[in-house]
Amino acid sequence: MAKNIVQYVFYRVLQSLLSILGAIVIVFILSRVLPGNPAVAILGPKATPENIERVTREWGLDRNYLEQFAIYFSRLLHGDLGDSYVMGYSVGRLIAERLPASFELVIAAFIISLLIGIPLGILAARRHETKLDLSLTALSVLGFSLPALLLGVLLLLFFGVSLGLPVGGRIDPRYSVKAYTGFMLIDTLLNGNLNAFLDALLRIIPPALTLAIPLAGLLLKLTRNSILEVMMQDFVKTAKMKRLPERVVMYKHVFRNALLPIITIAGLYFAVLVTGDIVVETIFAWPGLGRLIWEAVTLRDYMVIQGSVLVVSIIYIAANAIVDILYLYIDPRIRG
Amino acid sequence: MAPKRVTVIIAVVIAIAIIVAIAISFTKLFVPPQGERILIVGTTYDPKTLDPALSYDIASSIVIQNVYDTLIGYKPGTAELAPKLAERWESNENATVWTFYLRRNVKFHDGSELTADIVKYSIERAKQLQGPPAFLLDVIDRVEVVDRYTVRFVLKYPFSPFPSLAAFTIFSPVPLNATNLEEKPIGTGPFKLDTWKKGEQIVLVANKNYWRGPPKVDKVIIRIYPDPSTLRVALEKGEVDIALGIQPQDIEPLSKNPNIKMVSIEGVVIEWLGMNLRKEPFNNTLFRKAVNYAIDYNYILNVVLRGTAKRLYGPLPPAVFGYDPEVERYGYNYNPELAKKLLAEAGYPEGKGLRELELIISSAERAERKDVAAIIQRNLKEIGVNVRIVDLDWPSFLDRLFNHNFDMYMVDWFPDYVDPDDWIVPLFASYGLNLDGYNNTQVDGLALKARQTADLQVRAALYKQLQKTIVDDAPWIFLYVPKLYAFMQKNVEGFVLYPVYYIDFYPVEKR
Repeated sequence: MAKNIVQYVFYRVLQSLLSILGAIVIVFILSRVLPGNPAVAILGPKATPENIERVTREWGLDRNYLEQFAIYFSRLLHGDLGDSYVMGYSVGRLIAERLPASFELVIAAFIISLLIGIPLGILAARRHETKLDLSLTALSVLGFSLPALLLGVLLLLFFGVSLGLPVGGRIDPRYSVKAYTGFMLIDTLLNGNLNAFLDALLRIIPPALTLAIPLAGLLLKLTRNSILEVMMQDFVKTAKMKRLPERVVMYKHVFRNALLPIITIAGLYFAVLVTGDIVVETIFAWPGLGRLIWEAVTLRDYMVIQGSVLVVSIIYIAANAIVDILYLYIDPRIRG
Repeated sequence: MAPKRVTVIIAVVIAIAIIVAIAISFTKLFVPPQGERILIVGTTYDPKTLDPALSYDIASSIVIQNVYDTLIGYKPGTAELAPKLAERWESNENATVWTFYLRRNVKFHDGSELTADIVKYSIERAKQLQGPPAFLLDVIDRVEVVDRYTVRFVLKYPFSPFPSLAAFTIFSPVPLNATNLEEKPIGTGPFKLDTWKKGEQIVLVANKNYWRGPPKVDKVIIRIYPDPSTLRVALEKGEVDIALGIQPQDIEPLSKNPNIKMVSIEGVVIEWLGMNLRKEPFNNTLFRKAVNYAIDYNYILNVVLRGTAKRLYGPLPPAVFGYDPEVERYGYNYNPELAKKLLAEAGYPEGKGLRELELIISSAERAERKDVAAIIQRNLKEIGVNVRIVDLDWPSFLDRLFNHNFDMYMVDWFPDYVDPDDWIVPLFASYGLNLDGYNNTQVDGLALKARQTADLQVRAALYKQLQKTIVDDAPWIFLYVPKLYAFMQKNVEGFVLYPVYYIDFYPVEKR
């Protein structure tokens, strides 16, 4: 049995590495296929042909794609993501500067969506086919289908203008917060500055809600359906017939089994959120990874595009693998 | 069960109400430190580099202009040159040798003194680094140190706009042996860099030993709001003191906000519609004149742009030296009947025999461009010319522009130095960028002569002739000159806009 688990984890890791390799190749090709030359994009409309040629040569963009890829890949194997054309320094550093902001936002969004989605999903399931269930289900569809652009602007105006709360950015620029972790909510506390912490907390809510509402909608629907499905199964009926208290049946039997699909979706969605927040980071002036990718694409900064998409793919693939491995502990049937 | 649920709902409602109430009162209870005089500036782009030798974008120059000084500056609120690090300057008769006399006792932030050696070093360094703006230094053959405070530029060819070129950020002296200026700039300017959190904010602190005296605020925080709508909200909420980069559609509502102060000035950026003169039908002057008469310019200016721009009648914007007001008389105005007549004379009566023409634009950075293009499309359709608009992202647009893969395009032009030379030579001389394939030997010759002439009156006459010749040839549809705007809180004093993109926080104070 233990051997099986080790084998399973081994194959899963191997599979993940192959997926990452695939991602590297695809991103490399996609960034090269985009129309437009990075040298022109960066030098601007007044670039002289000689300058364009010089820069193209300097960045090795005059070589054929296979050579370019070989150089990129060998540097990658040494843990070097390359240098940004625009900023001049390493892509690894650029990403490291932006990643904590994205992570903080995504984690906040994730927690909010779990707190909203799952309890409401349980409520809907327990009261299924009532008006409450119907309205919750309708709400979840609405939440899931609202585009981030619309939702973001609405929340910006609601929190910022109607409630008059601080919005935009991670913190009021007048606070000087020494960075320890890169997570503003933790750093402000480590600085012992409660005002700054509250300011940061208020500022993270609207963008986190924008990201959380669609996921909450999805989780609500998923939790409800999953619970209803489990409740139809024989072992639940047996438990009920044994006259176990409803609470025990619900949480010990139903919920644990209903959790599987929820974990899958939530785990995958975590990785989606990391990239999916380009719009949210733009609206709320949040200096995260999504915006770095967007800026890199608009300037054809190939190295930054490749590096940051690679990091996101790794997060995605890792989340996927972790979910699969978590299954082993939650669902004994898979171990078999 | 039912009463219990009601209690729960009531409890939740009360809890939410308390949280909201606390949250709202927090903003009033907890106000960030007030002791320092801090100026918060909101903008929409993050700088790419803070090294004046490499910087060639607006966001970077906002910072560089306040951390560094150029050799030559501008008189407040104008594009006229004024002494800065150079107290005065002169040239030989044929404008090939320029001598600059430096101000004494100017210190860098690291304490070292500005001397002629350092100016020579800085220019040679920039030439060697070959960053995006380095082509501006191509005219310089060598830099000579005459004495400790006198530096001489020997040019490769006569170039009378040289002083205006010396107002560009690449002419900012940097101290010897400084490293990593891209992130840690060291200048002679009124502010020093404190921190730069990429994608978030730049903090500048006052240079108390500035040679013109300390600035009027202790700190300037430049905050990046990538979405201009968010910047507007931040301005209206009072989170930023000055907002740079407000979109044209927000200008009118903001100008009516009694809590917000607006300043505006006529700029020197021009917007035009270019045509590919290398191919039919654009190689036909009559056709180009016809389309010039077909556009309802007033509709574009008053309805689409709501008065945020002025008409451009010829190749030069009104605010630049050499502009000939006569162009407003002989330039093209909306005259659809004449347009139809000229189109027929060109061999395309009512547009017969014309293929569908493609107009490429990039509206990502200038949203109003899309609306203007739509009006042009409608106006041209009215005389029988069918146009398809293709909206590309900026790199794709540039790619097609440089490879001459277009029928028509719309774009704008930021001058590097405010001299007619920086419009005429790159945009109309066949030895310039030659985007349109426009080739007129008379224009080529006059442009070269104007560049090499030192006498201002003679130059003005040459540019007068150039404007007439170019407008007669109609290589473009001349569109408009956007105004520049800045919005600020009522207590911000002393902020002055310049026609060029020069942002100066030195005289700004908060009451």
